[in-house]
Formats: sequence, structure tokens, C-alpha cells
Amino acid sequence: MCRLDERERIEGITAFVDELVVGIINSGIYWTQHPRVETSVRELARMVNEHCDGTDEPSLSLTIIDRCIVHQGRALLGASLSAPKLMKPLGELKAGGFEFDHGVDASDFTLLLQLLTDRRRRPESREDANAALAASGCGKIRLLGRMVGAVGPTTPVATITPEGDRLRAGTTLDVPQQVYQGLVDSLQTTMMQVCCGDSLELGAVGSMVQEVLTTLDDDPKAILNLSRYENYDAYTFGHSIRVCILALNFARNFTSDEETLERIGVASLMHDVGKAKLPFELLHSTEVLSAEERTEMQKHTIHGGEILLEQTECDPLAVTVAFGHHRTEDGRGYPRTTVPLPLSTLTRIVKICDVYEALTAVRPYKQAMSPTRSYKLMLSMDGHFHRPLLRRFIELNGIFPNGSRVRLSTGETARVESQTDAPALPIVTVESTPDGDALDEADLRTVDLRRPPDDRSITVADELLAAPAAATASA
Amino acid sequence: MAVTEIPPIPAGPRPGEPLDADGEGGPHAAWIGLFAEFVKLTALLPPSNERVRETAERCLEAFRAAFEEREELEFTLDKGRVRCEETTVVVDYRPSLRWLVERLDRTGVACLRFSPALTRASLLEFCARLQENCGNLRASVLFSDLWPTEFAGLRPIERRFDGAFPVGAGAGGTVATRWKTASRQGQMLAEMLDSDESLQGRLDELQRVLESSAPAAPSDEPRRKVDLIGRLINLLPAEAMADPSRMREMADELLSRITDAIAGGVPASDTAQVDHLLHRVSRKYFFRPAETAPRPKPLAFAPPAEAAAPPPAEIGTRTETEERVDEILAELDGIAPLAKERHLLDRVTDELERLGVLLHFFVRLEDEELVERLRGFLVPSLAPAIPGRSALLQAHIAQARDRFEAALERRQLHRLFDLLCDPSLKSLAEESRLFGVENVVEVFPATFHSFLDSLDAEREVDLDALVEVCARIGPARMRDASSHLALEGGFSRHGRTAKVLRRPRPELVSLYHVLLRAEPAAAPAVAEALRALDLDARLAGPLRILSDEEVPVEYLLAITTERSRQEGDEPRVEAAAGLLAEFVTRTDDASAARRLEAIPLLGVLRCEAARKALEEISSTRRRLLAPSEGEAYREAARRALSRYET
Repeated sequence: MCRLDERERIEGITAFVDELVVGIINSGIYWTQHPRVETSVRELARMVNEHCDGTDEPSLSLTIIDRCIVHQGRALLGASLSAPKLMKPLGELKAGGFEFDHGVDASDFTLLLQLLTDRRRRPESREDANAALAASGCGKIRLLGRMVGAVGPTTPVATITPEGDRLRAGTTLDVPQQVYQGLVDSLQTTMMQVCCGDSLELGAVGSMVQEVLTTLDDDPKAILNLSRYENYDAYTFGHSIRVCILALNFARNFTSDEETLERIGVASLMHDVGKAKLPFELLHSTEVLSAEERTEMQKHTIHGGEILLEQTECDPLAVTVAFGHHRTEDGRGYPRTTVPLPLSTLTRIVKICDVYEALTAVRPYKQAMSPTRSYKLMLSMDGHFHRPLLRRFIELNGIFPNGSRVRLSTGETARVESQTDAPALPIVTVESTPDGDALDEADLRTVDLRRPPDDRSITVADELLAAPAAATASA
Repeated sequence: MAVTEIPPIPAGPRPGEPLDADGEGGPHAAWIGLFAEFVKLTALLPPSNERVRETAERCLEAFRAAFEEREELEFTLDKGRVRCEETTVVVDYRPSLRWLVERLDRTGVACLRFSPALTRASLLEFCARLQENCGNLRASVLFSDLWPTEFAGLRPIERRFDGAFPVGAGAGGTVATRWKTASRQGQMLAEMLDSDESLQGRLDELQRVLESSAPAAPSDEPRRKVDLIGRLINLLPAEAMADPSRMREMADELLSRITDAIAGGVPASDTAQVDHLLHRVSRKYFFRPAETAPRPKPLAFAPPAEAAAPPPAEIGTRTETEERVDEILAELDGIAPLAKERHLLDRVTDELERLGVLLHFFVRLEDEELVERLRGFLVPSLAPAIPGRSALLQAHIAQARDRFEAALERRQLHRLFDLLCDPSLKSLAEESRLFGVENVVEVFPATFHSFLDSLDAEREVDLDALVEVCARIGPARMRDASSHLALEGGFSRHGRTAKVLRRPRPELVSLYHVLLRAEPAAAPAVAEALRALDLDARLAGPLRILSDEEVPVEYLLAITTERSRQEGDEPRVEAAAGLLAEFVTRTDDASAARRLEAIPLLGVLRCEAARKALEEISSTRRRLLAPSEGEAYREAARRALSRYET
């Protein structure tokens, strides 16, 4: 077996955590012997053994410190953001992580998932949980003790000590990242509720939207950067979260009423809730869909409307957005309605954000499209969008959105910091020389492209598409 | 940037060659005339008019023929003439053309650019827009307001340059010029060309090569320069004109390229050819950038890899991203800004969309919980407490809300449609029109069909609703309803027809009739339903149906007609008449009054068998129940017979 390099190792662990979360969700919906659950546990066992073989380590350990998943001293941002469903039961057991030994098999993971998801029969402590696992014949998985304190991406392994020792204070996830994590948790919970036929806890979703709004007020750049976080998750939660962030950021320019904004946030977050009723295999197919499959996929709008209409706290806005966000201005979208009714302003806003996010996001089956290409494509889609709203979206989002990396006409690379009244001339921070050498922090400089230094004209020459998000926290 | 090869200019009038005696000539005269005729016709007649349609076809045919040899046609207005390549048509000699040119002139159009994508629909859209623009002219209107978008295969080009006139002596004794332009960008470019030394040099050089290829009188030189500047302003692409910072650079390069081309031997002895050259060069330069390396195809079904950064472009050259940004900015300029942006979402007006969603998930009114949720869903959309609404409107909306609540309470689905036609909602819709919402009153016909779509023949409440609606909307609309249901079949198949038959409402007679008449396919279903009725014992035979006192007599005709069918064949009127006659003359099962009521129906059937039956009844030869009743029967029969005589 080839030895895994650092990058492959981190990617593998992130994928493992994602699969573990999928397993927990599936166990919460289906019975133990359901094929989907059995597939998850087989995959989990394979991933652990492959990791151990590739790294010559006897086991794979994951610790959870301050809502962050840490592996060998390194916090894994991607895994952390998508794993609140993993962290909650561990928190209830007062455990601080897992250790999976080489040779673990699917039956071990079946027992682990049962333990994590069956709240009625869950032991009360970590020690009882380990004892229960051992008694059931699961000797290759253990719950670890809690780590106290914080670990940053550069914290050496040696400073991580067992439970009881306090480390440097601080959080590994900043506030916007915690908000993102909370949104993922809300959407995962919602999906499980839909699959089980339970009522949705829309109040909790509303609370999370309030957090997003607060963060947009306090630190808009950080959370908008998260709207560019290209993490593809198995249940398209990231897409819904990014649409919500984009829609709220857009809608804030048209109203300052908190209640309205919360409703807008919930509606945009729930716009694809109907997908929870689609067959999993169809939803995550990477093949070209047949006409029949496309028809089935299109029903997610109707499902979404039905799901939300059945809720006691049903907000009409959320129903209309879930139902209508694939309808077009010229009536050619879906679902077709006999009544040729126009789209509401909010549906139009969510529609723009939905398509923009889909075009600019990374997926396993396509590359991300740059913002300018996306805008050009959207502008060419006659009859799809409300044109004045689309114009305003582009102006507010920016031809080169905040956080995107660009190459200037001088050859230097830069990061867009904020927009100006000239959409193609934002304020940027120059990060590298024309030769590609990264600038030291002290040499970074901010340039307003409307008023460049030395009166020379500087424009954005190229967009630099970001690589898929690294699994590590950004340094 | 390398100059792309300029195709040879088509042969046209040579220097010194006079135009036709009428001042016009050329191969494009045909479509120019047809186009003008068509546009004027659309101002007078509706698009569906035969003459309009015919002219459109001829016009499009002429265009198609013209496009066989070229990719683009330009219809350019030029001081009393219209030009296209080498064709010139004098406006004064064609009333429709004069009419069209006048309107194009008033709406700021210098040129219409046609391409093979032209369709009848886009021609009609253009005509409609032209009419609308002529009615909306005001002093401060911009070209982009009048012509915000292009039409398929047809693009209006802004008239930017109106000429120039001397304003007095300038520096060095030369005549200073004031430029007359119709657009701000045109003014900027004109002033730039007049003041920038480098551009002045380019213009002088161009004039020199023009002079060498086609000498002009010295007095014509200033005019020639003005003409050249005017053509430059009019023909530069809008994308170039939109960006002042690049305007100078583009003007410089364009002048340079044209000068090189003319100096290289391209004849430029008259205005038509120079225009053609300008147009060709500008198009080549701005619309067909140099070929770049082919882009790699996007990955298919592969995990996302780190995207390779594009190689740095040569400093000073335009990149693909820059070109794209320019196109985006130009596109955005052509889109009208949002109205009332600041408070766009203070009130999230989506009443119509909510109602539409409701119609799609139609009401299962036996579900109390759902009713409550729907009340909460819809009533807020009629909440009057929205600032800015007039007191009268609020009162209307409050009334509409109360009626809606009452309708939900009584499970009267059809009342929902009353509300859709409610004047108060019409006002609401007018208010909502600020955001582009249509008038809700006009939605009613489609709403009704949506209502039908949502009904389920299995549900009692849906049937009641249908009956109520049909009773109110009248026979004409009921035909739509019943034909829809007849096609579905389920309505009658489950025996609900029995309930329809039992309702003592005359309106339902026509419903039943329409059910029978709407589609032949409905007949078996109805017959089957009749046979499946739980009162089957009483209704087993046609005479028993007729004898059923609970069945309104108006149904007798329909029932007998239906019964006369055999295996889906057309009703046999003669057989129906025979059944009715037999019923009238029998004395066993039906009351005398019932049979008396049935006699006029024989007059309705209008067939030979019915007439004979009536003659028989009216005669004194047949013995009926009682002498006192007999006269009533005979009189009824005679009255029915009189219908045959009229």
C-alpha cells in the first residue's frame, strides 16, 4: 500500500468524518439492517483500515475540542463544520473523541452508531459506553476522554495532554464558523425530521438565522467568505447555507426589519427541503439524468411546499419560495401551474442566489464557474430572472466578490476586500508579486482600484478560482 | 493587436457615377419597402389580421433572401434617405417609409441592424415597442429607456451624432465647432476627437489618405471631417462608448486601422464605402477578438482538482476576463434599475403567489387542522395593517378577509373564487402592480381550471363544491367543468351522479346534459354510474328511472337519451322517443302528474317517432287513466305538437 502524503491523509480523515456523520443520520432514519446503514458501516471500516495501512499507524484518533475536530494536533475545518451531529452525542457522554484500531470491521461501527443514535438506551458516561461496546464484542473502537482548552492549527502535538490539563485559552472556530456549524446542524436535523415524518423545528432554524444576521452585522466579510466555502457535502446542506447567506446579504439592502429578514433567512434556508423526499440515489447521482429522473427531481419543489405547508408554524413565505424557486419569469420553469402567477420578490431573490451558488460551487461532477462567467450566463438566460433584481445582485455582490482572488493587470495577485461604486474596480489586498512570490504580511498593501497609486490604471485581469477547500483550518 | 483581414467591399456606385434618377437603387430596396409597410400596418391593424400576417411573411421572405449572402443588414437613416450597403431609398417617395423614418428619428434610432435570427415575433415586438416609445417621449428620456433590450435579429443603434456647426474663430484662425450629439457619450467622443492632439493627428492622417484616394474640393474638407467624426460616433459599438476610459484608446486604434486600410488600397471615395469600411473594421475589432487557445473541457464525473491558474496575460493586452467584464457592464447598463429599492422588502407582497400555491395544493377541507393552517397561511396576505394603504382599500380588504374566513368555515370552496374576483383584491393587485404583479381579476378563468384540477371525485366535499360552483357560474362555464370531469371519468364512475340527480336544482339539469353531451366517451361512464347506483333496484330499467319521483323531470329527457345508447353508440333519438312515449301512455308505475310532465319532452326530441307519439296522445283514440286527466294529456300533447309546426 502506498504511503499517504499529508494532503491525502487529511482528505481521507475529512471524508471519514463526513461518512461517520452520514452514518449517524442514516441510523437515525432507518433501521440497523437497512442497506444504506450497512453501506455506511462497511465504508467506515474500509476507510479506517485504509488510513492505518497508508500511514503505518495502529489506529486513527479523532478528538473534539471546542467544537473542532482535531487529528494529531491539527484542527480540521471541513470536518468540523459538517460534524455537529457527531459532537452532540459525544458531548452528552462527556467524551472527547474516538479511537479506531486497525482491523475494525463493519459490525463494530454498527454497534457504535446504535450507541450514538439510540438516546433511550445510551449509557450515561463514557466509561459505561466503552464497557457497553466491549461487552458487545466491539473491541476496536473506544471513546476517548475530554481534552480541555483549545488547539490551533499550529499547536504542536506535544501540548495536547489528556483530560484534566488546561491548555491555552481560545477557540478554534471563529464565530462565523460556529454559525455555519449551527446551520449545518439545523439542516441535518430538519432532514431527519422530514424523513421520519416528524414536525420541523422551524423555531430553532429561525434562531440560527438570527445568528447569521448578527454575524452579517458584526463581521460581514467573514461570513460572506463562508458563502464561498466550497465544501460539497452529501446532503447539499452547504448549498442551502450559502444560498441563505447570499439571500440575507442581498435582502439587507432592501429592508432593515429584523422579523422580515429572519423570515427571509428561514425561507431561503428551507428552499430545498423537498429534496429530503427524493430518492438518495437520484439526489446524488453523478450520471446524466434521464428525462424521467429529471421529472422526479423537479418534484422537490412540490414536496418542499407540501412539507412546509403541513407545519403548524408554517410561514407563507417559506412555502412560496420552496414551491416557486425554480419557476421563471416567463412561466417556463417548474412546477407548472395552471394559474400564470408572477413570482414574489423574495422568490426572485432566492432564485438568483440559488442559481448563482450552484454555478459557482464546486461539485464532484463539475468545476466551479467563476463569478464573471456565472453573471454572463445568468444575464443571457432570458426570461429566467427579474432583470433589475439580477442587476442589483451583481452590483452588490460585486463583479469580483469579496474574498475572491484575482490577478491584476500588473501581474500581481490580490484578494478582493470590499466593493466600491465601480463594480469592476474593487478594493483589493495585493498578496504576491508579479513573479508569484507571496508577500510577507508586513508588505501586504491595500489598493483601491478606482484610485491606484502613481495614477496608473490597474484593472483585474483574471479571476483565480480557488482550489477545493482544504481540510485544515486556514492559517 | 493584429488587424484581421477586411473582406472586399461589395461593388457599389463608383466615383462620379450618378444615382438613379429617383435617387434610389440597389438590391435591398425590396425588403426596405416591405419592412416599412409592415411596421406601419401593425400600427393600424392587430397582429392577427390577415393582411399583417401576409405582409410579415413577405417581409421575412425578403430578409431571408438578403441574408443568403450576408450575415447582417443595416438600415441606416441618412438625411432624407435610407441606406443599406449600396442601396439608397429616398424617403419622400414612400409614405410608409417616411412614416417609419420619422418615428425612428424621434426615438433616437440612427440605424437598425438585422441578422438572420430575425423572427416574426421579434418584428412584432419591435413594432409594439416603437409605438409605445412614440407615445412616451419626453425631454429627458434616454435611448436606453426607449430601447432597453435588443430583439431577436434586430438591434436599434443609437443616433449619437446630429452634426456640427461653426461657432466662431478658434485658435490659429480655424473655425471652432460645436458638436450636436444626441447622447452624452457621443458628446464626449466628439469633444475628445476635437481636442486630443494625438487623435487630431490620426484624423488628419485619415483625411490625407482619403484625399489622396478621392480628392475633394478644399471647401468640402471641414464638412468631410465632420462627416467622418459623425460616422465614427454613430458606428462605434455601444460597449466602447459606455466606457469613457477606454473610448480614447479605441478611437485611436480604430482611426489607425481605417487609415491603414484605405492607404492599403481600399477605395474610400464616397460615404457609403467609408461607412462600410468603418463598420467592418469596428466589428472585426470589437466583436471578433483574436483567437485564443481552446479552453480545456470541464471535468466530467471526476473529483474536483485544484484549478490551474490562467497564465498571466501580457501586460497591456486585454484578457478574456476583461472582455467578459466589459460585456457584463454593458449588459447591466441596458437593464433598468430597481424601482423603490430602499423599501422593496418592507412589505413582502406575494399575495398572488400564495394564492397560486394554495390552489396547487388544494384544500382537503375535511382536515380541520389543515384548514386552520391555511387560514393562517392566507389571511395574513389580506391583512390590512400595512402602512400606506388607503382607508377604503383597507376596508375592502378587511371585508374580503371576513368573507374568506366565512368560506373556509362553511367549506365553500367556490367562495374562494369570489374573492379572487373581489374588487378589493383588484385594488390590491393594482397596488402590487408596482412590483409587476398582474391584475388578479383576469386570472379567474385559469383559476377555475386549477380548481377543477385539484378536485377529487372521491370526496363528498369536492362534489358539493363542484355543484355549488356550477350552479353559480352558469351553463357556459359548466361545459368546461363537466367536460373536464367527463374526461376524467372518475366523477361519474363512483356513483356520485346519483347525488347530482337527486338535487332539486334546475341548474344541475344542464350540468347533467353537458355531462352527457360533452364527450361521447362520457356516456358509458354515466350509464355505468347509473347502473351502479345504490338505488339500482328502482332504477334498473329506464321506465323505473323515469318513474322515480325523486328524479327531477328535467332529467327524464337526458336519461332516456342516455338509455337509448347501445355500447357507446350515439344516442338513438327515435328509441328515446319510444321510451318516453311508452312511459307517458303506461299507467302502472308512474303517477299521472309525472306522466303529464313528461309529455312536453316529446316535443323537445323533434323526431318522427316523438311526433307520432304526440299525435297518438292528442287523439281521443287511446284510453288513458281517467277522463278528467285525459283532456289535460291531450292538451299537453297538442301544445308539444305545435313545436313541430313552427
